[in-house]
Amino acid sequence: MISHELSVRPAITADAEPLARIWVETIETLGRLDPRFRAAPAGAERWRTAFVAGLADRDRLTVVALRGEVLSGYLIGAAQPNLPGLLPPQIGVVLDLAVDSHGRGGGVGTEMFRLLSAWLRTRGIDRVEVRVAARNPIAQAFWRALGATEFYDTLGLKLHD
Amino acid sequence: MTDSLIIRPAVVADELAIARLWSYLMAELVRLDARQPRPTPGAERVYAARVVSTLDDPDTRVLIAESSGHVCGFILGAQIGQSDLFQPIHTGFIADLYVESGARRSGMGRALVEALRTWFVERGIERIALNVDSANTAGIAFWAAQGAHNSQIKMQIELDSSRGAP
Repeated sequence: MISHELSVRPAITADAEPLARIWVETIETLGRLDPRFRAAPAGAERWRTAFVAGLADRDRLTVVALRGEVLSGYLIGAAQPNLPGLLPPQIGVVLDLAVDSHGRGGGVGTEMFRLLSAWLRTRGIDRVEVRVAARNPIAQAFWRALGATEFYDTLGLKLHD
Repeated sequence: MTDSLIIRPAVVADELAIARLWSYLMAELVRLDARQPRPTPGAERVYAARVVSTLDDPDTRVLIAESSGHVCGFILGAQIGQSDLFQPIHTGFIADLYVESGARRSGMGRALVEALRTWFVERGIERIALNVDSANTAGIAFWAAQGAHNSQIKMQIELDSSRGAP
């Protein structure tokens, strides 16, 4: 019998190729919600390179989720200094989160965030910031369910038509 | 708009005034939203020194609003890089804008934005991004009147909260 049990673990280099496909799918979905999201030429290749480089960063944790043996999502988080002069001195940030379209709504994102939270707590960090597209109510609802509250609106001002 | 209003590039001698205005800005933000991070003691001097240190940076622009010889507001903008994962768009960022409470509703904020917008346009900037505290309804309304639209929401999770953070 094929197992579909959900598990999460830190990412490894070999995950880059299958996860790049999830990244592409996610950007295409975001682009349909908001045309301002457009991947650059060779964007997936650049994402793979950045993903692998990030695995060596000790201030970053990349978590992957699997359904059985199949990768179904990733979450990239980091510990970073807060803005100069502001407290707390260190905060956690979610840099990227994507879940395969077939795996959404099954607790995949929550389980990945649970692992990231535990890692941040070991570093004495108790605040996490995440950016969500204004036109992506599903992602906003996901983060609200985890206790997130709106903090800043990022506004855009177009100078040329 | 106030007749005596002058919008000009900041100079080193504005450092104390910038520190004063930034401390007012931080105090207002904390009053508005208790989640706002508190400045550390003396942070306003550190901030102003950093701002002044950028005055020779060609990618940064600091403008001062002065009325009857008194510095009442400032705006800080910069050209920023962009992730190579996305289609390039020349982007500017407005890091801070502040006008003293007594000088508001006089067109000073709009004049600061217009002057900075001109600088951005001259540099080929296509889009400006900026952050506004979600609780700052007056600020959001101000930016909407300048033509800004909501692009992203920055959310915050307290890991020790009882609201369900895992």
